[in-house]
Parts: sequence; C-alpha cells; structure tokens
Amino acid sequence: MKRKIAFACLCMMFSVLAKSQDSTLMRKKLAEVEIIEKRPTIQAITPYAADKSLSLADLLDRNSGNLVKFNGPVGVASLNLGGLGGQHSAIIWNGVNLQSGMNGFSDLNLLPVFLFDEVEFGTDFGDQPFGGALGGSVKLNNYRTRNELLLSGASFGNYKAGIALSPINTAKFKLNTKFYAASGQNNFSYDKPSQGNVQLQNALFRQQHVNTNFSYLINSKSLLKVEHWLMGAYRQIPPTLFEQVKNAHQTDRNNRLAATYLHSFDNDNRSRTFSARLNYLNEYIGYTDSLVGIFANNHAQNLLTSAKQGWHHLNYVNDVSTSFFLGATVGINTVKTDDYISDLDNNFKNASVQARFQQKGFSDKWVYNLGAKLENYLGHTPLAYDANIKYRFDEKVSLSLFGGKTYRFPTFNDMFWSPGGNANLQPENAYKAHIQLEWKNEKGLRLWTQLHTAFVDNWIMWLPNQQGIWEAQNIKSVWARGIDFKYSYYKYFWGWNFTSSGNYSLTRTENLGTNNFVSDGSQLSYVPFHKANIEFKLQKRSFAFKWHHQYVGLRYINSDNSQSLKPYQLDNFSVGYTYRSLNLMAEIRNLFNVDFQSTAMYPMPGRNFSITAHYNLNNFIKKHVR
Amino acid sequence: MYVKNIFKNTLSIALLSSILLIASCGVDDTPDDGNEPIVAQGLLVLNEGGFQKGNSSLAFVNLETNAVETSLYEAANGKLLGDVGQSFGIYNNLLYVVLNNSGEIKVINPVTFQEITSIGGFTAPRYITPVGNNRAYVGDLFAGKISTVDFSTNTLTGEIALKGMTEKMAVSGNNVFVTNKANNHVFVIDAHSDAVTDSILIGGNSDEIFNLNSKIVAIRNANTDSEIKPAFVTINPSDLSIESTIEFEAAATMWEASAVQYNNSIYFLHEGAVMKFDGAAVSKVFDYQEGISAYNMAIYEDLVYVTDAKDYSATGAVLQYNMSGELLNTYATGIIPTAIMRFEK
Repeated sequence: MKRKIAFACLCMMFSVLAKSQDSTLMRKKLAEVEIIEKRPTIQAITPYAADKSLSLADLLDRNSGNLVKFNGPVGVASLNLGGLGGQHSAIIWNGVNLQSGMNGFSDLNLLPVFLFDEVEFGTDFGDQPFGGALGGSVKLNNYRTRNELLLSGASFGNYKAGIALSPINTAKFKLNTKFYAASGQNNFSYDKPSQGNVQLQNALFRQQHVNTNFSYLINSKSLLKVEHWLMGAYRQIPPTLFEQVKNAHQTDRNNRLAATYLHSFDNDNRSRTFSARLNYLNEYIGYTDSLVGIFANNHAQNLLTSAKQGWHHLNYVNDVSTSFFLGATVGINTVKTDDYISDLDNNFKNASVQARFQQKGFSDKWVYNLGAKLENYLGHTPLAYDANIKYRFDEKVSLSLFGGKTYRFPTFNDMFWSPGGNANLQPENAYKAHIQLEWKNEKGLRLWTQLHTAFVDNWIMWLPNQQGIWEAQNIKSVWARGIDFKYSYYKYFWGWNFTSSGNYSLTRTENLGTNNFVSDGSQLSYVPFHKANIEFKLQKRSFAFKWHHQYVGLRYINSDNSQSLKPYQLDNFSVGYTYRSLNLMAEIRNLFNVDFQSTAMYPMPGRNFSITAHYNLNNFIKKHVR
Repeated sequence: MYVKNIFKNTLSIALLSSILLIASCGVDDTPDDGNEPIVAQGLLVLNEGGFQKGNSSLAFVNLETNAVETSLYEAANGKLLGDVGQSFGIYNNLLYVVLNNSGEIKVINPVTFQEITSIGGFTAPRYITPVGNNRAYVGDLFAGKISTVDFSTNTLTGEIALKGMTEKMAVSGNNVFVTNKANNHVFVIDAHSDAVTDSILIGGNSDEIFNLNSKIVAIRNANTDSEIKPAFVTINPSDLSIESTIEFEAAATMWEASAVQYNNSIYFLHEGAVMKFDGAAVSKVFDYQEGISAYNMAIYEDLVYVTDAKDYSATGAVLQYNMSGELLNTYATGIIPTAIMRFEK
C-alpha cells in the first residue's frame, strides 16, 4: 500500500513538470548577469553519479591530499585544509559561511554530495563573512536543474535515498527541489580492550535534507534567486575504545536561506553589475548525556544583508577587461544557550566593506585581482587582503600565484562559555601564499602541483588558567607549509576506457612558541606528514571497474609529538553498470579489513559493502510526462 | 578539574609505608638468581592522560639516579592502561588504579606491573577509601552512588545510594565522611551498616577532606558567583558539629583545592603558591615556578612534588622542590601527572 501511495505521489509530482531538461541555457543567461570575481587558484570536483551517495567528508577524503578527520562513524567530520585545523576551513554555500558560530566547525558528515553540482576547494580565503578560511575554503555550488533518483544500501544498516526534481524549468523560471535522507545503525564489530570483539553501541545516525532552488529571470538584465536548505539530524554518540557505556545523543537542526537579486547594465564595452543578498542562518545543536547530566540546548541565528556593485570595462584594442567591485555587508547575530555567561548581551552586529580590482587578458590568458576587506565583529576590526594571479603560457602550461592575509574571529564558545570563555580574545590572523603550476598534454595527461605556506598567530587554545579553570587563550603561532601533487590520465585502448587519478600531499605544520604550553617545533596534532590517494578506472561498454587506494601517514595526537596514530592504507573496489539512464554500483570499502583509527580511540568500520542505484529521470520525464 | 592526591592523614601514611614494606618483601616472584634484588627508592606516578584519549600511564621516578621509567603497565601487559587515570593506592600488597572514564579499577602486581584482574561495573569512579574488614568505598562522579569493593575477592559487592558527585572521603572510627562536588553537604556513612546516617552543611561543595589531628577538615570550594569563599571547615567527628569555618580570599571566580596532608598540616596549591593550613590559619610556604600548569602535589621527607600538566596534551612533569621553594629536579613522567606515591622498585 505504501509503495502504491509513493508511486502515486511521484506521478503527481511528475505531472506538474514542464519542459524539464538539464539545460545549460539558463546557466549561460545567469552568467551574463552575474559577473563574479575569479578564484584562479581553486580546484573543483564535479561528482559522478557514483559519488552522489557520499558525504562531503568522503568525497574530499578520496579526492584530495587534505586530511578529513573522522570522529568515528557518526561524529563530526572536519577538514584540515592547508595543514591547519577543522575550524580553519570555511565551508561556503551561496555566500553563506556554514562554520558554526558557536564552535567554528562545519560537520562534513551533514553535507551530502547529492545536494551539490560542484565542489570547489583550495587554500585561498574565499570571500565569506566572518573570515574563517585560514587553512582554505570549500565552496558548494548549485547551478544545474536536475531530475534524478538515488537509492543506496550499505553494511551496518546504512540506507540513503535522494530525489531531485525540477518541476519548472523554463527560460524565465526555474525550480529545483532535492530531498535527501540517510539512516544508519553503524553497529559494526571491533576489538575493545579487555573485552575482545564487540559491536559498536549507541551509534544510530539519521539526517534529512530539503533543498529548494528557485530563480526568476525578471528581464534580460535582472535575476532573482532564492535557495532554501532545511536540515535535521539525530545521532547517538558511541563509546570510545575504553568507555564502557554511552547514552549520549546530539540533535542538529539548520534552516538556511539565501536570496539574491542580480542586475546588470550594459553599454557597449562598459557594463555595471549590482547584486543584493539576504542570507539567514538558524542553527541548533542539542546535546544530551543523561549519564553525566549534560542537557545542552544551543541556538544561534545570523541574518546578513549585502550589496555589491561592479564596474566593468572591455578595451577592444588590447582585449583587456577591467573590473572593480565594491561591496558592503551588515548583519546581526544572536545566540542562546544556558552554557554562556548569564549577563551576555545577545545581539552581535557585524559590518564589512570590501573592494576588489580585477583585470583579464584575451581568452583568459592571464587574470589577476587584488582585494581588501575590513570587517567589524565582536569588538574587532581586522583587515584581510589578497592577490591572485594566473598566467597561461600556452594551452598546456599555466602558473598561479596567491598571497594575502585573513583572520578568524573567536567563536561564541571561545568568548562566552561559562566558565572559561574569554571576552578579551583577539582574532586569529593568517598570512599565507601559494604557487601552483599546471601542465597538460593532448594525450590525456594532466599534472598539477602546489607549494603553500601559512603563518598563523593568535592561535586560540583552551588551557587551564592558574585557578585550574579551562580558559580560551591566544596562546601560540603555527607555521604550515607543504607541497601537493595531483595527476589525471586518460587512455583509450582495445575498446577500454582507462582513467587514473591521484594526489599526494606533504605537509609540515609546526607549533611555534616559547612558553610552557607549546612544544616549539612539534607537528600540529592530527596533521599527517603524508597523505595520498590513487584511483584506477577501467570502463568497457556498460561496465566500469574502479579501485581506489588511500594512504594516510603517521599522525601525532598530542602537542609534543610523544604519541601518535600509526599510518593506515585503505582500499575500495567497485563495479559499476550503466543501462541507459540507470547507473548501478556495488562497492567494497576497506577491502582488506584494515583496523585503523582516524581519531584516537574512535573505532572505525572494517570491510563493508554498499550498493547504489542512480537514475537520471530526465529521459523518463521527457517520455512520460511531457 | 578535580585535582587529587591519595593520602588522607598521617595514619594512612604510616599504614601505607607498612604496606609498601610488606609489598616489597612479600611478593616473591622476583628471579632467585642468588643476587639480592635491587631496590630503588622513588616515586610511582599515575599519569591521568587526556579525556577519551586512552593514554593514562604509570611511571617510576628513581630518586637515587633521577632516572624515569615510563609506561610501566603498557610494557608489562602489551596494552594501554585505560582512559583517565584518576587515583591509585596499594592495599593488600596490590596496586589498585582507578580509571575514571574506563569505568573500572585495575588490580596490578606492584612488582611486575602485570594486571591481575579488573573490577568493572562503575560509571565514573574517582577514589578508593579503605573502610575496614577488607572493604573499600569508591566514589563516583555520575552514578549517584558509592560502590563497595571487597579487597579479598576484588569484586564489586554493593552500592550506597548518594546523589551528586561523590569525591574523596575521610574515615574516623566507624564513620566515613564523604565530600560532594554537586552538593553543599559532607555526608556521613556508617561503615558497618553502609547507611547514610547524616549530612553536614558546609556552605559550598567540596572534594578534599582529611582526618587532621582527630578532626575532620573539609576544604570548601569557592564560587564567588554565588559569593561563596573558599574555606577550611573543621568538623567534630564525635557530634558532627562544625567547630570552625576559616575562610580565605581567592582571586578566581571559582577555585578548587589540590591538597595533601603532611606533618599535621594540610598543604595545597593556590594561585601560584604552595600554601599551608595548620588547623588554625593559612600561610604561604613558597611560590612555585611561574608559567606551569600546577595540577597536583605530594610531600615526602620535606620534599614537595608539584605536577605540571603543561598544555594537558604534552608529556607532563613532576617538579621536586625543597621546603624553601628551590627547584631541585624535574622528571618527565607522562600525560597529565596526577597522583604520586612513595614507592620502592
């Protein structure tokens, strides 16, 4: 009966679909209107059908040399970009900084790849409110209208389902809605000290997302875009290796809205663009541990308005286009929790002004831009500035340079937690640079390498003060640097398509300081010196075979590097089958059943299996609905 | 943080010394190769380790050579000791290590450091207090009860319901006085019947308590948010009346003691100094080294040992001072050194 109802609902939804197609026309139109600043040193991942059941944590873990730190199968997963910490990686969605205002983290386990068309990441700063991108930034892009269905089942009671529908897809209107739900028991077996092989307890994880994009092309010059994202998640907190019992659980709820108005004025070789944004973030984190008497309800809201004007000029003589952008934001933030000081003034206003100058040569042979931003928040007004340059020597070789300074404001927890919050904290500052070289040939080989360096001062740590109370303090400096390599290769032979890709990162992140609390010269905890991924894919007609291998090197887990987690290597093997619009994939993860820890004392699953079906509904809709 | 030490009073020190002597002589599994076993005088140090890090450890400081042997349990057993080493003590010639976040007590051979057994079933155990008849009470931070342990069988034998966070205890006759971090009372338990017989309001929560010169002295923690000053509260163990409450100033909005008993006085760490309470007044003994994370202390033979937890992640140290405050030695022992006992190895 339920199936019949579900099928009927599906048919009703399809019946209202009109002219649904995966059109690039609208995107081109949007691009005409929204002239954006270039981020020349960014890397991008466009998820394949087989990737759509992954979380952002898994996608980035498999496709980059940056460490993704998993706190067990259901805990917060964070990204260490550029050799820095999880709080230093800004996650940007529609100009909204998704880093929690309360703890500074953005949980990558709560960001399903299914919701996004493209993931960009890099060690630059992004341009998000509140800074935060000391290590780098990740941008989650949506620009396509999609009709697709995703179903996935995996070991330990893990199930995922997603559907994306575009009931309206005309030149003027576009409406795209995505539903995604995942649930998992995660009750895998592991070796517990003194107890032998046991099943992981209290590890249920559920999440639901509804993501709706709407755009309306008011006229050839003006566009209105609205995107809304509702998320709810419930997870139990399993015991660590030595803990006997755990009954804690966490609830996350997010309500995110991004509305944008774009307008352009064209006049021969001169044009102007104007954008106005309204972003609203509502974040709730509830944590309950009845065993130890913790019942925390934490709620933060952020309302941000911004406006940006751009002036553009194209010189027909030398084919150089020049742009100048001037923008401002004004916002208000509130936070409500029992854990903060009682006399907290609950309204925090922030305002910023920013400017960017950009020039581009013919056919983007070269591009550079210079930007500066001044932002006032929590009693501080730090300055950020950066310069980007990209030069394409020929069709094969390009060189990119980036340098600048940015900041990260202390979190609400850092400043107002009672006891230990420190209202006198200074923002963290990062001075950083990277250089990238890219080379490709006509035989399908592409090579990319990057050298990066970042110096962070005013690094915030929680340490006991003289009275034994843990207190947030600006305690140390950190110097991160490293080299990243990446390659991809494609070859067609004997009817087979062969592709291979890989990446390797060597990262040295050094604690600097001369006091009792810093081990000068030690490696930052959990930053591996070495991380690498390599992937081989063979495809013939409808079948595809993929093998993925990952190496994560030794990670020190304490500040003087006296303790460490051993390196591990993981292998995943998958077989895919494509029939028309249907893509099926079966994957064995952790093929060799390796016992490993991403975070010390958090057990991770051994060998496990998944089956994923992805169905592109566009043809079905064209055939049966129109 | 709950800064702790294992000794309660001079009687217990004397008792412990006797037990240590028996332990060092009584365990006869050392190789009989015709040579006298080498006995080194030193300190046994319990390193708490980080919460949920599972890196608690035991270290031995040889006070004759100043050498430090670390990770004694790990070396003897090929596995980690556990999560959050809270306290330890030697009872019936066996070493008992309370592992707070592992929810268990490990029973260890103090000569070989091999594990004999483990007593489980706790939620968040804190301190063991022998109460006679081969029995001990074990306080618990979250269970809302005190557990009873039988030393002869090394098993959990019962429980006494007591709300709040039960911490250190002091024994006087049949009465066991129990501090509580979530309550403004010191509770009294009859060790014969295991019944809670009374409670004494001391005006604030506490976790340090001593049997000092036949009086019970609890250290009241400060919480100036609610205008509670730190104080030494002296209780008459006979009629359970409060004889005196001696308050003193603390700069911090919250303050908790890290204290030990030595030579009929209570010594404690307070805002950069080792302080002394002689039963009547508080005085400063010396300022310890600036910039350290002083976490706990012990005193033996007029030498003061202050543990330095550094950043609570790096290898911590035990600092040895004389009574004049002169730093004599520094011993790197493990992550967050928290408890020290005199030991022969």
